Amino acid sequence: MNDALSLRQVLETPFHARTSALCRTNHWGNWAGYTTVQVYEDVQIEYFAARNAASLFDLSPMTKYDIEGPGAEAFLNRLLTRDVRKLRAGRVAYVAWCDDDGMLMDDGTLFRFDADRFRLCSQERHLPWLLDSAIGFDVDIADVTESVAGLSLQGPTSCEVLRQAGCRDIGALRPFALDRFEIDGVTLVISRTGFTGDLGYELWLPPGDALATWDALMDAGPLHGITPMGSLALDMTRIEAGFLQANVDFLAGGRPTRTGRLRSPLELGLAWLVDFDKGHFNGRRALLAERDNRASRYRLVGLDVDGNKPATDAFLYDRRGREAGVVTSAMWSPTCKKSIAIASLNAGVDVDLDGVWADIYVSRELRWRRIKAPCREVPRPFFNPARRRATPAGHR
Amino acid sequence: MSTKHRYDAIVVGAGHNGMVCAYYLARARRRVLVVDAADAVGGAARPVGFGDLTVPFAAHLDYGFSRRVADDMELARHGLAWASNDIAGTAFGENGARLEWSLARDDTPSPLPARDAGRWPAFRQRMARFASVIEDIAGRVPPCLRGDGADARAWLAIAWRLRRLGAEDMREFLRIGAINIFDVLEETFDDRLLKGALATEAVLGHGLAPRSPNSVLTFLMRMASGGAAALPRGGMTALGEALRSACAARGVEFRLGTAVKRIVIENDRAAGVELDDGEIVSSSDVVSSADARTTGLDLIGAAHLDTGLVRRLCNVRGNGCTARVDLLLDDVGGLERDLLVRRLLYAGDMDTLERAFNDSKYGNVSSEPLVELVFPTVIDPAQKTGRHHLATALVQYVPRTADDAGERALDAARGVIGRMLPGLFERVVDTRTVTPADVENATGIHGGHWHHAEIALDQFFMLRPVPSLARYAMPVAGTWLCGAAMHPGGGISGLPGRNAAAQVIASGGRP
Repeated sequence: MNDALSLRQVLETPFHARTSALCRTNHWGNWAGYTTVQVYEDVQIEYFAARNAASLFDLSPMTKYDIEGPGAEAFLNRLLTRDVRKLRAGRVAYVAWCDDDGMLMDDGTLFRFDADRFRLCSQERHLPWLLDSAIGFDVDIADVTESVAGLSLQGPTSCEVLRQAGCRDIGALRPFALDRFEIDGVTLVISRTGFTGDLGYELWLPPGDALATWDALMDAGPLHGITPMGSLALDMTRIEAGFLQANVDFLAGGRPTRTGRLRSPLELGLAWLVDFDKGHFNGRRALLAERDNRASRYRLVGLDVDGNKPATDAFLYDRRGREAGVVTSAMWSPTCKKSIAIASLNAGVDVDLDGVWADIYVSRELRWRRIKAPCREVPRPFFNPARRRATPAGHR
Repeated sequence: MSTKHRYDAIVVGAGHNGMVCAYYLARARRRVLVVDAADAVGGAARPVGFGDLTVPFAAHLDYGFSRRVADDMELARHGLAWASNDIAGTAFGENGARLEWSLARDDTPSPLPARDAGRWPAFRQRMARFASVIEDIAGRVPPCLRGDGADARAWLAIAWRLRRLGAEDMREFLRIGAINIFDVLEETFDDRLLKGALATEAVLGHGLAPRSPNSVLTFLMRMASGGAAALPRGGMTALGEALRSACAARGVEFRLGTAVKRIVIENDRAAGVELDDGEIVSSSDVVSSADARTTGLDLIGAAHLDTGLVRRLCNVRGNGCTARVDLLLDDVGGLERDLLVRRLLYAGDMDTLERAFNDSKYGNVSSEPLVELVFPTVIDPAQKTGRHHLATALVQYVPRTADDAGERALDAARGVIGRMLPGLFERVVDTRTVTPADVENATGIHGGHWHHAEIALDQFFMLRPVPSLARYAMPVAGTWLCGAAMHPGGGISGLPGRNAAAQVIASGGRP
């Protein structure tokens, strides 16, 4: 083959013609095999667009599996830790799944279109695990990552942008609900979901309609501050929202080569996702033993860190200088006006009673300073605006 | 728990392991029910009609039923006697060459060249010493790697058993333990027929050829169970009858002709079984003698198991490649009488076996297969219940997936047997073939393998059939495995059933 394209190691998303034209930094990253914009112009501007106006993010590389058939619900109920029977058609749920040892393999979102049709979205690819899990169930599983393009429109004016683009009834869509809408003659699925912890929507459409839909939203949005957003700004919003990032706050199943590096959902603050009463699911016996024997090794917490220096990758110590855990995600939150962190504490550590502090190293033009910043445990999400939950949405 | 259920334990399958397990459970005062889809007990050795004779469905000879189990169950009192407790072998080679041998005896095979004859006693004694280590391991419930004091003591006992071999033997044991019988025999003996015959002992019933890894292990397993090939008086079906009688004497109940549709599970615990007519029989424990995959996927159901385990169950190696051919004979007159009371083996040499195996690897039935032929009605006149005589042959390698496997196995057997006993086929009035696919269909053993799961180091002891199930317990509380897929495997030893019962009893519950 002399086609140079065939030798490329990354794919382009259906929005590439637009995203590449707008990416003035030429700062790209590899997301699940797709080249994606890290920063279009300025990470702060993109972040504030998500918090104060509307941000438009290309989420096409998100892994998507269509799961259909008479056994789909039973299959998912055995695969996932939540009770899928409680998820009604037209709804979306945040879900997690475990291996035999009760260790988290990944988290994601589950869309229920009707009784027998679902879509599971996650960061990592899991087709072999899903196919193994399908043994004994009457279910069809298809990887539709390439045949479904995705856009995330997030922020306080996102609802208004969609209304201007022609989705008149979008305000009535409840959080974690999905429905069909039409933009510029294109029929697409919109769900009121997102990774920013704010009012926002995710749009799912055929790749062939990608550019037209992008243009329609951008045309509808100027007065509402619509701004393309890259992955770095998204990461800021997701930390404020308190969401976990695979391979940052936990390792996705199959990733680690060393034993003991995976985390159970109970160790990741996801106990609320685990329904022990719904019958068997992957990892249930191991998780039950972990719960009953109080055998969790870690506890995931949100921290408010003193000062304004992000505690990125910091070790945590207690007041006697013993290691108490590590920070997995941290930032200075412009909206909360606080240094916030997601941390994995060793079992038995109490942040406040044990006087936990973060060991932060800061370079000021190559003069390093060590900051011992006291921490307080705070609830996640760190940022949790009422507009995120309000329906009808986007009312001024 | 005990008052809630009608039985303390239901054993699925009335094969020999199921009945042995039921016996030990009943001896420990459990109320036990054995359920089997067939109308008769015996599993793969259950009686079926063939002409005017009754023959076992598939099992052909007894290669080492555990003496300890036979004594515990007082099988002699329940009618078990031996027409022959060691049918010596005659191997046939090219150009009419013959060799007589028995692994169970000290006698040197003959005729042998002087150097081989000189090496035989040391070889056999050393293999017997190694086999005694394997025998020790075979009788044990595999201990946990990270277990309690009892597990640690079991590991120490095994290590001590190895150490007692002495430095030289231990070194040799570790050298040959995981290699193949071809290399071991090649470096020890010259006689091609001897090597072929001994290699046959290692591979018979296994999906292995002499050059396959693990074939020393299977040879030692064969020696560990005595090395004999025995025939109960009345045939292999008589063993099943004796087991049933011993069970019944302990109060075990039987429901035959009724298949178990599934194991009923409530709150992640066994609650009984559902029969094919929809009836639910309650029980606090359910012990399955089906293979691990069938038990997991069909009886328990994938929905109750974790994905990783399901995948491992689907990948258990256990494709049967041994077929059985029965010949109904109107007469055995005119045949060489001395041969008719022996195990007649067509093994050629080790390369013949290897080539036959190669054919099976690619889905073909070899035209020159391994054949073991016996005349049960001659060895045991009690089995001659009609006018006809019976010859039964094991034919290997017949892959499960081969088209027309039965016909082709019969054709291949005809050619090979014709060389051993010219004229035999002229006396044949009817034939019956049982291929691995037939075994699978009739008994539910996935793959139709004698041992339910290939015997190999990666599926042996604490790794059998898959690591997390080695202690006879399925993950759903109160569900157990007692079939040949469990340590130490098939070959009609009764040991998996005995070990499983010990685990069920040790788990507590009643009484």
